[in-house]
Amino acid sequence: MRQWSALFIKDFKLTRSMFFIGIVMNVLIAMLTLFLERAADDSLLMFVPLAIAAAIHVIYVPLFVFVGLKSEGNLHLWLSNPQPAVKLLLSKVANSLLMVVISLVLLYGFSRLLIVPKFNLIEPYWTDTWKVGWFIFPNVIWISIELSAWVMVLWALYQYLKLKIGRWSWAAVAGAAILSGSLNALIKSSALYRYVMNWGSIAYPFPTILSKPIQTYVGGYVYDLIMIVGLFILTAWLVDNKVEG
Amino acid sequence: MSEMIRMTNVTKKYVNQIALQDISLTIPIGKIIGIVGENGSGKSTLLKLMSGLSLPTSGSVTVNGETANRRTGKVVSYSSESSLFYPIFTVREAMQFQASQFADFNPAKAEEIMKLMRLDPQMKIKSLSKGNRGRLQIVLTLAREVPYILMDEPLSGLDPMIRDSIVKGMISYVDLKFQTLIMTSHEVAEIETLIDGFIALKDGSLLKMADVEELHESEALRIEDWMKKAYV
Amino acid sequence: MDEFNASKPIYLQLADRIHRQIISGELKAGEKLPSIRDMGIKYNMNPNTVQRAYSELEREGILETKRGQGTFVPERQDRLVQQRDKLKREQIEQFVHVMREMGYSAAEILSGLTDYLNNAEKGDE
Repeated sequence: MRQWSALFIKDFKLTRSMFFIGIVMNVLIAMLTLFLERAADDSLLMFVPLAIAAAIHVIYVPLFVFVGLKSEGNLHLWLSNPQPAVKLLLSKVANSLLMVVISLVLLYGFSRLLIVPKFNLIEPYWTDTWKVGWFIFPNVIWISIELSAWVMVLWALYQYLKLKIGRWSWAAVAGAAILSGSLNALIKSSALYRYVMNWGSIAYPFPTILSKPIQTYVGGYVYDLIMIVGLFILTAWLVDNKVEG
Repeated sequence: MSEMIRMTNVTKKYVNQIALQDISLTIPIGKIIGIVGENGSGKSTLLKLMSGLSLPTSGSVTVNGETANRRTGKVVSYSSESSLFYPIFTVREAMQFQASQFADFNPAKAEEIMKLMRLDPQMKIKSLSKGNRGRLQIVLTLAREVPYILMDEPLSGLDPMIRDSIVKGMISYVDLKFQTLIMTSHEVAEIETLIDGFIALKDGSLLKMADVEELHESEALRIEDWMKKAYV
Repeated sequence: MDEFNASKPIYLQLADRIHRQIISGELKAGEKLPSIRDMGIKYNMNPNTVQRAYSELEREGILETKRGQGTFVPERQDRLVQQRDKLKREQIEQFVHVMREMGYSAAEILSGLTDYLNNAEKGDE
């Protein structure tokens, strides 16, 4: 355990400064929210920067995992580590996850602090905004994790290919990304997918903000989970057996 | 007799370039071995293949009987100038991190070598001079009690005082009863009295592997002079 | 390093050096030699090479190893005296052989040597 926690702390330090930059950006967004709230008549407008900021968080985990991997330099140190690749990668993902949660909570917290004095303006929407937060945040994080699984596998593929085919490996990786991305989209839009995965339907109604409730399927999350785990195992295998330092 | 590094018909290609061709050799425990040759002759690649950080295109590399891959790091302590520790760490933090990752890392030994090398434990690695980075590599690499210690150009580009302290560190802290030290060097004269044997590479091929004393006895030549003859 | 040359294996050169130090009295009877590691550190030399030099000298009876204590110059000097004479004879043999080859007579060699030594002694004063 000491071995892994030391790894976790090391990975935290490697992306720490970016994490703080992210927090500063959250503060700026919250201030923009406050400004819009004062300037605009429509009190819903103030939620636009907040919504955008929350949506941008989908690239948070993949970005931080990627930067974390880049900061391993020529990989000598990272690959020489005796722990299995699963643990090495998990440390980076767990760090990014911790950071994205803190970042989202802070974003939410800052905004609330600023909004509370003007609470009466948004009172009619309040229950729904609160609930939307609870719906959006986990989903943002979920998508972010899935994206990071793709980023990791493509990164590992690139590391493998660059010694084999050299300077066109980025193009091969881009090709692989487009191909697998569209394949994934194709599967998701297929009748078979709907047939197999569209179960466990849950509807989230937000009557004051959206006219139609948002529909999700537990089956869809299961599909995502299988993808995430599969990609993660593939990445770990590539790192353990194919990536060179 | 599986206590050795064994390479069998190893070829390593990068994209279309052949870095090493058809290398076969074995290295037992208890030796100090120098890998020598001109720049670009494949010295570093050979060392990386032994560490498991590089994988052969064909042929096999085994360390203590197991195929070399990145998990070989368990029995091999590898360092090169380019495998610098995380720059945001201090010297002490780097030592603590290695100790947390490697069960064979001896903190007391690390502390001792650090003192011998006159390193300031509070210094950030990014602000260390080139010479002190070399010294830190020695601390982190030699403090591990592993069968194989591999060092890529540990002496190159350092001033004579630092080279001398590094050589003395190697002699003091490598225990040839159960360890082998393998290092690359393009300044052969410097390591002549330090090594038991040498592996001479030329354009990615194995030119000769021999005991230094054998060369002295059979040809009455220093490695450097022998290389001048052999490389023509 | 610079002090060692390629004409002869390094371990033999180190053995010769230690031998000369004993004969000259720099290393005294009963004195303990540095450990293999310390000797290696002193000359930046591979401990295996030092080990070989010590073993070689031990085989010739010039050094002795006491289990668990280290390597010593023996207390008993007879072997050393013998060695000293042997070394002297070897050097003279070599010198005389070369001189003979060049056609010098015994008298010429002797007078030449005497002159040389007298001059050398004067130089020393």
